[in-house]
Amino acid sequence: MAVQLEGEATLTSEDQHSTEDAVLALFKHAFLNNAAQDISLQRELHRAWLKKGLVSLPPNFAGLDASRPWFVFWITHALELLGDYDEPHWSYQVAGFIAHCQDPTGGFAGGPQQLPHLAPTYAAVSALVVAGTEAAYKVVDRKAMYGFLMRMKSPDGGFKMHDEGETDMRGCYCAIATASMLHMLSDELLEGVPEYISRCQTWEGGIAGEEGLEAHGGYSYCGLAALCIAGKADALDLHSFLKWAVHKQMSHEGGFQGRANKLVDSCYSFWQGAIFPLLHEAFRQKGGSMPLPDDHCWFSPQPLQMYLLLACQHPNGGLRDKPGKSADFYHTCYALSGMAVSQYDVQGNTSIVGDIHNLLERTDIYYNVLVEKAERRSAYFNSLPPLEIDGRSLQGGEGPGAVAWRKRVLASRRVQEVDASPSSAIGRKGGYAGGDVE
Amino acid sequence: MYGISEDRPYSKREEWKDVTPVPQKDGPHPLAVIKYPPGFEEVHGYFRAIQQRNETSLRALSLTADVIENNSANYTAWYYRRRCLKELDSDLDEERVFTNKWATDCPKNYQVWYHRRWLISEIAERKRKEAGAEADKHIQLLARQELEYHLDCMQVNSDYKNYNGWSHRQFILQHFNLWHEELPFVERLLSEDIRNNSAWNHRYTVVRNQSWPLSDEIRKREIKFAMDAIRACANNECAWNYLSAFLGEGNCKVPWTAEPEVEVLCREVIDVAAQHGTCRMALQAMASINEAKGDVQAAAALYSQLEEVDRIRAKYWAWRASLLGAV
Ligand SMILES: [Zn+2]
Repeated sequence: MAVQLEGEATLTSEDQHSTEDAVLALFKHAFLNNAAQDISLQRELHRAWLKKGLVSLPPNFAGLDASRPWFVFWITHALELLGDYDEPHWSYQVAGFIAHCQDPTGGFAGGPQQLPHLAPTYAAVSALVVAGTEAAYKVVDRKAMYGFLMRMKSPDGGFKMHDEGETDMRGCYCAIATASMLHMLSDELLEGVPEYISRCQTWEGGIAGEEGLEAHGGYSYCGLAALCIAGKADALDLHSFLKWAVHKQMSHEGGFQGRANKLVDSCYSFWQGAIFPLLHEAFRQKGGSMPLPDDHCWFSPQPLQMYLLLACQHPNGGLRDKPGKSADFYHTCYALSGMAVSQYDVQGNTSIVGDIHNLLERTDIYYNVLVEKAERRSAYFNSLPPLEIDGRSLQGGEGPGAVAWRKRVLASRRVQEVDASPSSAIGRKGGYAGGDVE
Repeated sequence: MYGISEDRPYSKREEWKDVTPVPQKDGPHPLAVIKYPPGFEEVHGYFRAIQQRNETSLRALSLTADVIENNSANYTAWYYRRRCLKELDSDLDEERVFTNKWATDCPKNYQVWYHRRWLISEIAERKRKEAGAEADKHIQLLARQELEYHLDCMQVNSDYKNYNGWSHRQFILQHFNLWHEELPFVERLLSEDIRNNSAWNHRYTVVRNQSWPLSDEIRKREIKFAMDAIRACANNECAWNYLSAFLGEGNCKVPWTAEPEVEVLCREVIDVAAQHGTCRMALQAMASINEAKGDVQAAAALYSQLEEVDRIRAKYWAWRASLLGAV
């Protein structure tokens, strides 16, 4: 039989073609009407839309009543990335509301008086880190939290999402990131975790939600970030992981898909996009003489930003998954987070598509809060005496991988601030998309 | 009995008059405040009251159905519902009917599928305890019905890649040890859509559970399956990925040079593709073959070709080339 390049059309190829067409039509429209430097992030629009949602949500959000700490995190973090988080205004309220989602037995729930659950626990703690005040940090009952995290450990090395609940890769990330942010990541909490995550790395190279399932961008981020935080990414086959991840950037659309032969989706800008700097760290953790790129770690930041700016901004504010969808807070948070990740390389040099004011604040690839906020938090928790649990002091702290990365980022930033020329508006090296549009 | 019995507000119902609803404690500074639709707050108020009393009763069970009707992602309600079902020793076949619509209507909801997983295990467990000559037959039937149900869900929603659904299917196959019957199902799905990566992944997992460690015969069969798929549609990333699951270095793999017809196919695809652009997967496979042969120059040439034609991954290809000298 002779080789067919395209073969017969199927559901997958039809969906792919119509998405590709919709995205390329928007690109064409933009290039006909704008100069490259006019491509801009509609900050005003997004800010207004985000702030409205932080206060109140319409009745059709009733189905998300078990995710309220997520809304607080998604929205406040998105505002932070835009440089528009009004700390004195919001932080008090964030601390007050999140406190009402805390369970007396430890952990946070999806809303007041619900069952504690690992996903809103991560969201709540991250929202408190974004809030950034001592009063916010103090909301967390750390002793009870540690008990909750240990109680969620399942015998296979993973974590249950809640009492008698499901175990999957989200649990690993939520538990490890939470423990690390609160400086209580211990050996007993990590026991069996690298083996569990390694068993979920698939034949494709990425990580699945559970052993046997398909490699997936979201779960891949969760597994890799959890291991990188703990400094244990050598449990994975990093080369096959990278090979899988690079192929998830779409040749035409520029954004990422979550799995092979699925459609482009803006939230994977973060889940997949952050995998590259994490893998860079993982290779570094592993050591050896292998040369590593320092310039945006193997993927192409400019087409990704092009996709987000031209195809994902909703005219009424917020960002969407893809053209034809409505904007939502989840996609807005992760589209902006992914854009921020793609704008800074390992050294802190920037790569910005369009208007230079499209530059976002830098996010910490381990926790997805601003680097400054991650640092401020660590200064506070470092100043506390060790936690006493059952008469012994907890042998735990922040994950060494997360500490090392932040230290390097902050050090290179200080060097750059010294080097920055006074004429530079942002104090760092910026770049325009210019003619680099394919 | 377990569903929603009526429309009257709870405050007007005789059987609920001993219960005072518990309001939601949002505190003085609530954020992300949802303007709840009519009835939502009342149902949840009674649900909070029931939890506070730690009551597991028939009315509590039917109340959880009402909460779930208002918000099917309310994991607390699903959790509490399982508690009631256990303590009341409820009829679980009836519960299966109750959950039927949830997985088809909300296929991306974690709670629904997890509930279903618990339910099927529990039903099987009970049947096993009843023992009897027919127990095994009933359990096998239950499991097969569940596999049918997964297929129905995919067909109804015309979504053959739903992650939670696949998770359910693999759980059933594992729990009831049915992997050996699964290959025809995979082949059917792949014949409908050769680009469905969930089906490719499932194929690998079936092989992993059924034929591990791999014999040469099974490996050859899988390599041939991937090569045939590549022939029929060479620009399909899944088939190339599947091919490389059996070639290279690693557990149960053989070197890229072990099956000479792979190289023949790569050359053929590269030739055909040259007339219409390129096939990056074929070039990548060819580079792997050359690396396996130790032909660094040929591999480097392919990586630099990839750097040219696959611009979005240019940095990756350049890096791969740079590793050739380093190792
Ligand atoms: Zn998405």
